[in-house]
Amino acid sequence: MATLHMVSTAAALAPCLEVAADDDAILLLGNGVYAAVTALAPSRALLALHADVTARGLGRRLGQAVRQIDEQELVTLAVAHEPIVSWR
Amino acid sequence: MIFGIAVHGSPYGSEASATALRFAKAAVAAGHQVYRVFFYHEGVHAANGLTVPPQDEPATQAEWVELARACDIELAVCIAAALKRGLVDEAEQRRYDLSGASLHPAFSIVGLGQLIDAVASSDRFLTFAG
Amino acid sequence: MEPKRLLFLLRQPPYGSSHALEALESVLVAGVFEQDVAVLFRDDGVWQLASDQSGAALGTRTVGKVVQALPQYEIDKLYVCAASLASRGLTAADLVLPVQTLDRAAQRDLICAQHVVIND
Repeated sequence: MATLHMVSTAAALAPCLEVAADDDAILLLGNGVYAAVTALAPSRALLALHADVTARGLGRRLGQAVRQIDEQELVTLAVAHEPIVSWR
Repeated sequence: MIFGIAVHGSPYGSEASATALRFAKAAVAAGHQVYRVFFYHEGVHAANGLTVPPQDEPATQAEWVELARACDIELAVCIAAALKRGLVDEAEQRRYDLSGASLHPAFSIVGLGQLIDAVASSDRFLTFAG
Repeated sequence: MEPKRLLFLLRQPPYGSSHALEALESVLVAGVFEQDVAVLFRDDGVWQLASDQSGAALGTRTVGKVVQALPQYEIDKLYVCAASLASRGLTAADLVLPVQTLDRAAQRDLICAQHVVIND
Protein backbone atom coordinates (compact mmCIF):
# COMPACT_ATOMS: atom_id res chain seq x y z
CA MET A 1 0.00 0.00 0.00
CA ALA A 2 1.37 3.46 -0.84
CA THR A 3 2.31 6.03 1.79
CA LEU A 4 0.52 9.32 2.44
CA HIS A 5 2.89 12.18 3.33
CA MET A 6 1.40 15.23 5.08
CA VAL A 7 3.73 18.23 4.71
CA SER A 8 2.87 21.18 6.94
CA THR A 9 5.76 23.56 6.20
CA ALA A 10 7.23 24.58 2.85
CA ALA A 11 10.74 23.69 4.04
CA ALA A 12 9.68 20.13 4.80
CA LEU A 13 8.73 19.30 1.20
CA ALA A 14 12.32 18.78 0.04
CA PRO A 15 13.20 16.17 2.71
CA CYS A 16 9.86 14.45 2.07
CA LEU A 17 10.57 14.24 -1.66
CA GLU A 18 13.91 12.57 -0.91
CA VAL A 19 12.16 9.49 0.44
CA ALA A 20 8.72 9.55 -1.17
CA ALA A 21 8.04 6.76 -3.65
CA ASP A 22 6.65 7.67 -7.07
CA ASP A 23 3.21 6.35 -6.22
CA ASP A 24 3.02 7.89 -2.74
CA ALA A 25 0.53 10.69 -2.16
CA ILE A 26 1.96 13.99 -0.92
CA LEU A 27 -0.45 16.47 0.69
CA LEU A 28 0.60 20.01 1.48
CA LEU A 29 -1.33 21.57 4.33
CA GLY A 30 -0.98 24.55 6.65
CA ASN A 31 1.92 26.71 5.55
CA GLY A 32 3.13 23.76 3.49
CA VAL A 33 0.84 24.96 0.70
CA TYR A 34 3.31 27.75 -0.05
CA ALA A 35 5.56 25.07 -1.57
CA ALA A 36 2.85 24.45 -4.18
CA VAL A 37 3.09 27.81 -5.94
CA THR A 38 4.20 27.74 -9.56
CA ALA A 39 7.65 29.15 -8.84
CA LEU A 40 8.43 26.48 -6.26
CA ALA A 41 6.37 23.42 -7.03
CA PRO A 42 8.14 20.37 -8.42
CA SER A 43 6.71 18.70 -11.52
CA ARG A 44 5.61 15.75 -9.45
CA ALA A 45 1.89 15.48 -8.65
CA LEU A 46 1.03 17.14 -5.34
CA LEU A 47 -2.13 17.64 -3.35
CA ALA A 48 -2.95 20.78 -1.38
CA LEU A 49 -5.59 21.26 1.28
CA HIS A 50 -8.19 23.63 -0.15
CA ALA A 51 -8.96 25.57 3.04
CA ASP A 52 -5.28 26.38 3.51
CA VAL A 53 -4.85 27.35 -0.16
CA THR A 54 -7.90 29.61 -0.07
CA ALA A 55 -6.98 31.33 3.18
CA ARG A 56 -3.59 32.25 1.73
CA GLY A 57 -4.88 33.51 -1.63
CA LEU A 58 -3.03 30.84 -3.59
CA GLY A 59 -5.92 29.46 -5.62
CA ARG A 60 -4.68 30.94 -8.89
CA ARG A 61 -1.01 30.69 -8.03
CA LEU A 62 -0.54 26.92 -7.75
CA GLY A 63 1.73 24.82 -9.93
CA GLN A 64 0.21 22.81 -12.76
CA ALA A 65 0.67 19.47 -11.07
CA VAL A 66 -1.09 20.54 -7.85
CA ARG A 67 -4.63 19.38 -7.14
CA GLN A 68 -6.67 20.80 -4.28
CA ILE A 69 -8.58 18.46 -1.98
CA ASP A 70 -10.91 18.94 0.96
CA GLU A 71 -11.06 17.15 4.30
CA GLN A 72 -13.46 14.50 2.98
CA GLU A 73 -10.97 13.49 0.33
CA LEU A 74 -8.20 13.51 2.97
CA VAL A 75 -10.22 10.92 4.88
CA THR A 76 -10.51 8.82 1.72
CA LEU A 77 -6.76 9.14 1.17
CA ALA A 78 -6.06 8.13 4.75
CA VAL A 79 -8.11 4.97 4.30
CA ALA A 80 -6.27 4.09 1.10
CA HIS A 81 -2.69 4.70 2.31
CA GLU A 82 -0.48 3.19 4.98
CA PRO A 83 1.58 4.47 6.69
CA ILE A 84 0.74 8.16 7.02
CA VAL A 85 3.84 10.29 7.64
CA SER A 86 3.94 13.90 8.84
CA TRP A 87 6.69 16.30 7.82
CA ARG A 88 7.03 19.59 9.67
CA MET B 1 -12.06 2.33 9.75
CA ILE B 2 -10.82 3.28 13.18
CA PHE B 3 -8.57 6.33 13.25
CA GLY B 4 -6.05 7.34 15.88
CA ILE B 5 -4.94 10.98 15.82
CA ALA B 6 -2.01 12.77 17.45
CA VAL B 7 -1.86 16.57 17.74
CA HIS B 8 1.61 18.01 18.31
CA GLY B 9 1.12 21.74 17.72
CA SER B 10 -0.34 24.30 20.12
CA PRO B 11 -3.67 26.04 19.38
CA TYR B 12 -2.27 29.43 18.40
CA GLY B 13 1.26 28.40 17.52
CA SER B 14 0.07 26.14 14.73
CA GLU B 15 -2.94 24.91 12.79
CA ALA B 16 -2.48 21.36 14.03
CA SER B 17 -5.45 21.21 16.37
CA ALA B 18 -7.83 23.02 14.02
CA THR B 19 -6.87 20.86 11.04
CA ALA B 20 -7.08 17.68 13.09
CA LEU B 21 -10.57 18.71 14.19
CA ARG B 22 -11.70 19.22 10.59
CA PHE B 23 -10.25 15.81 9.71
CA ALA B 24 -11.96 14.14 12.66
CA LYS B 25 -15.32 15.68 11.73
CA ALA B 26 -14.93 14.51 8.13
CA ALA B 27 -13.97 11.02 9.27
CA VAL B 28 -17.03 10.75 11.48
CA ALA B 29 -19.26 12.15 8.73
CA ALA B 30 -17.96 9.42 6.43
CA GLY B 31 -18.94 6.76 8.93
CA HIS B 32 -15.52 6.09 10.45
CA GLN B 33 -14.62 6.04 14.12
CA VAL B 34 -12.03 8.17 15.89
CA TYR B 35 -10.63 6.07 18.73
CA ARG B 36 -8.52 8.62 20.56
CA VAL B 37 -7.01 12.04 19.95
CA PHE B 38 -3.65 12.16 21.74
CA PHE B 39 -2.36 15.65 22.46
CA TYR B 40 1.44 15.68 22.91
CA HIS B 41 4.31 18.20 22.90
CA GLU B 42 2.81 21.71 22.56
CA GLY B 43 -0.49 20.14 21.55
CA VAL B 44 -1.38 19.69 25.24
CA HIS B 45 -2.33 23.38 25.36
CA ALA B 46 -5.53 22.44 23.52
CA ALA B 47 -6.73 21.08 26.87
CA ASN B 48 -6.39 24.34 28.80
CA GLY B 49 -9.76 25.00 30.41
CA LEU B 50 -8.86 28.53 31.44
CA THR B 51 -8.73 30.03 27.97
CA VAL B 52 -10.97 32.85 26.74
CA PRO B 53 -11.05 32.57 22.95
CA PRO B 54 -11.76 35.82 21.11
CA GLN B 55 -15.31 36.00 19.72
CA ASP B 56 -14.13 36.32 16.14
CA GLU B 57 -11.81 33.30 16.18
CA PRO B 58 -12.70 29.63 15.81
CA ALA B 59 -13.91 27.85 18.93
CA THR B 60 -11.71 24.83 18.30
CA GLN B 61 -11.71 23.58 21.87
CA ALA B 62 -15.48 23.82 22.20
CA GLU B 63 -15.84 21.92 18.92
CA TRP B 64 -13.45 19.17 20.09
CA VAL B 65 -15.48 18.85 23.29
CA GLU B 66 -18.75 18.62 21.39
CA LEU B 67 -17.38 16.12 18.84
CA ALA B 68 -15.92 13.98 21.61
CA ARG B 69 -19.21 13.98 23.46
CA ALA B 70 -21.29 13.21 20.40
CA CYS B 71 -19.02 10.48 19.03
CA ASP B 72 -17.51 9.00 22.18
CA ILE B 73 -13.95 10.05 21.34
CA GLU B 74 -11.33 10.19 24.07
CA LEU B 75 -9.43 13.49 24.19
CA ALA B 76 -6.21 12.36 25.84
CA VAL B 77 -3.40 14.60 27.06
CA CYS B 78 0.03 13.15 27.85
CA ILE B 79 0.70 13.57 31.57
CA ALA B 80 4.42 14.29 31.32
CA ALA B 81 3.97 16.89 28.58
CA ALA B 82 0.98 18.39 30.38
CA LEU B 83 2.40 18.77 33.89
CA LYS B 84 5.54 20.58 32.81
CA ARG B 85 3.39 23.01 30.81
CA GLY B 86 0.93 23.70 33.61
CA LEU B 87 -2.00 21.66 32.34
CA VAL B 88 -3.16 19.97 35.53
CA ASP B 89 -6.41 18.37 36.62
CA GLU B 90 -7.68 18.43 40.19
CA ALA B 91 -5.92 15.19 41.10
CA GLU B 92 -2.56 16.58 39.98
CA GLN B 93 -3.34 19.91 41.65
CA ARG B 94 -3.77 18.06 44.97
CA ARG B 95 -0.78 15.80 44.38
CA TYR B 96 1.58 18.71 43.77
CA ASP B 97 -0.19 21.21 46.06
CA LEU B 98 -0.72 23.71 43.25
CA SER B 99 -2.84 26.85 43.43
CA GLY B 100 -5.34 25.70 40.83
CA ALA B 101 -6.40 23.20 38.20
CA SER B 102 -6.34 24.16 34.54
CA LEU B 103 -7.42 21.13 32.56
CA HIS B 104 -10.73 21.31 30.72
CA PRO B 105 -12.89 18.50 32.17
CA ALA B 106 -13.54 16.95 28.76
CA PHE B 107 -9.85 16.04 28.44
CA SER B 108 -8.17 13.16 30.29
CA ILE B 109 -4.60 13.12 31.55
CA VAL B 110 -3.03 9.82 30.50
CA GLY B 111 0.35 8.16 30.19
CA LEU B 112 2.32 7.65 26.99
CA GLY B 113 1.05 4.09 26.95
CA GLN B 114 -2.24 5.50 25.66
CA LEU B 115 -0.42 6.82 22.59
CA ILE B 116 0.88 3.33 21.90
CA ASP B 117 -2.54 1.87 22.66
CA ALA B 118 -4.06 4.27 20.11
CA VAL B 119 -1.49 3.12 17.54
CA ALA B 120 -2.21 -0.53 18.29
CA SER B 121 -6.00 -0.12 18.36
CA SER B 122 -6.53 1.93 15.21
CA ASP B 123 -6.47 1.00 11.54
CA ARG B 124 -4.82 4.26 10.56
CA PHE B 125 -2.83 6.69 12.71
CA LEU B 126 -2.22 10.30 11.68
CA THR B 127 -0.18 13.04 13.29
CA PHE B 128 -1.05 16.70 12.86
CA ALA B 129 2.33 18.25 13.51
CA GLY B 130 1.60 21.91 12.96
CA MET C 1 -2.94 -8.37 19.08
CA GLU C 2 -0.04 -8.67 16.67
CA PRO C 3 2.48 -5.87 17.20
CA LYS C 4 2.35 -3.04 14.72
CA ARG C 5 5.48 -2.04 12.81
CA LEU C 6 6.01 1.43 14.22
CA LEU C 7 8.71 3.80 12.96
CA PHE C 8 9.70 6.92 14.84
CA LEU C 9 10.92 9.52 12.34
CA LEU C 10 13.17 11.85 14.30
CA ARG C 11 14.12 15.05 12.45
CA GLN C 12 14.38 17.61 15.25
CA PRO C 13 17.67 18.70 16.82
CA PRO C 14 18.32 17.48 20.37
CA TYR C 15 18.09 20.84 22.14
CA GLY C 16 16.20 24.09 21.58
CA SER C 17 12.88 22.48 22.46
CA SER C 18 11.70 19.43 24.34
CA HIS C 19 10.54 17.65 21.19
CA ALA C 20 13.56 15.33 20.97
CA LEU C 21 13.40 14.15 24.59
CA GLU C 22 9.63 13.79 24.51
CA ALA C 23 9.78 11.78 21.29
CA LEU C 24 12.47 9.51 22.76
CA GLU C 25 10.27 8.90 25.79
CA SER C 26 7.52 7.69 23.47
CA VAL C 27 10.06 5.42 21.72
CA LEU C 28 10.88 3.80 25.06
CA VAL C 29 7.21 3.33 25.93
CA ALA C 30 6.58 1.74 22.54
CA GLY C 31 9.31 -0.75 23.35
CA VAL C 32 7.81 -1.51 26.76
CA PHE C 33 4.47 -2.14 25.05
CA GLU C 34 6.22 -4.64 22.78
CA GLN C 35 5.54 -3.00 19.45
CA ASP C 36 7.91 -3.67 16.54
CA VAL C 37 9.81 -0.40 16.88
CA ALA C 38 12.32 1.18 14.52
CA VAL C 39 13.84 4.65 14.69
CA LEU C 40 15.10 6.71 11.74
CA PHE C 41 17.18 9.79 12.46
CA ARG C 42 17.41 12.22 9.55
CA ASP C 43 17.85 15.92 8.80
CA ASP C 44 18.66 17.75 12.07
CA GLY C 45 17.61 14.64 13.99
CA VAL C 46 21.05 13.18 13.28
CA TRP C 47 22.44 15.67 15.81
CA GLN C 48 20.73 13.60 18.52
CA LEU C 49 23.38 10.95 17.78
CA ALA C 50 26.39 13.28 17.96
CA SER C 51 29.03 12.52 20.56
CA ASP C 52 30.33 15.08 23.10
CA GLN C 53 26.89 16.39 24.02
CA SER C 54 26.52 17.81 27.52
CA GLY C 55 22.97 18.66 28.51
CA ALA C 56 24.37 19.79 31.88
CA ALA C 57 25.58 22.96 30.22
CA LEU C 58 21.87 23.86 29.88
CA GLY C 59 20.77 22.15 33.08
CA THR C 60 18.98 19.46 31.13
CA ARG C 61 19.34 15.79 30.29
CA THR C 62 21.87 14.78 27.67
CA VAL C 63 19.88 13.57 24.69
CA GLY C 64 22.81 11.56 23.34
CA LYS C 65 22.83 9.49 26.52
CA VAL C 66 19.13 8.68 26.12
CA VAL C 67 19.78 7.60 22.53
CA GLN C 68 22.78 5.56 23.60
CA ALA C 69 20.59 3.67 26.09
CA LEU C 70 17.94 2.66 23.55
CA PRO C 71 19.42 -0.80 22.84
CA GLN C 72 19.32 -1.56 26.56
CA TYR C 73 15.52 -1.28 26.27
CA GLU C 74 15.59 -3.58 23.22
CA ILE C 75 15.13 -0.70 20.80
CA ASP C 76 17.83 -1.84 18.42
CA LYS C 77 16.41 -1.12 14.95
CA LEU C 78 18.16 2.24 14.74
CA TYR C 79 18.81 3.88 11.39
CA VAL C 80 20.33 7.14 10.24
CA CYS C 81 20.13 8.93 6.89
CA ALA C 82 23.52 8.76 5.19
CA ALA C 83 23.04 12.02 3.30
CA SER C 84 21.96 13.89 6.46
CA LEU C 85 25.19 12.81 8.17
CA ALA C 86 27.38 13.66 5.21
CA SER C 87 25.89 17.11 4.65
CA ARG C 88 26.64 17.94 8.31
CA GLY C 89 30.19 16.61 8.14
CA LEU C 90 29.41 13.70 10.46
CA THR C 91 30.76 10.17 10.14
CA ALA C 92 30.10 6.98 12.08
CA ALA C 93 33.00 7.89 14.36
CA ASP C 94 31.08 10.98 15.52
CA LEU C 95 28.08 9.04 16.79
CA VAL C 96 27.32 7.84 20.32
CA LEU C 97 26.50 4.32 19.17
CA PRO C 98 26.71 2.21 16.03
CA VAL C 99 23.74 2.91 13.78
CA GLN C 100 22.93 1.50 10.37
CA THR C 101 23.17 4.16 7.68
CA LEU C 102 20.49 4.16 4.98
CA ASP C 103 20.47 5.78 1.58
CA ARG C 104 17.28 7.36 0.30
CA ALA C 105 16.01 4.21 -1.40
CA ALA C 106 16.48 2.20 1.79
CA GLN C 107 14.66 4.88 3.81
CA ARG C 108 11.80 4.73 1.32
CA ASP C 109 11.62 0.95 1.73
CA LEU C 110 11.75 1.27 5.53
CA ILE C 111 8.85 3.74 5.58
CA CYS C 112 6.82 1.69 3.12
CA ALA C 113 7.11 -1.36 5.37
CA GLN C 114 5.58 0.36 8.41
CA HIS C 115 2.03 0.34 9.72
CA VAL C 116 2.51 3.64 11.53
CA VAL C 117 5.07 6.44 11.47
CA ILE C 118 5.25 8.86 14.39
CA ASN C 119 7.27 12.04 14.07
CA ASP C 120 8.84 14.22 16.71
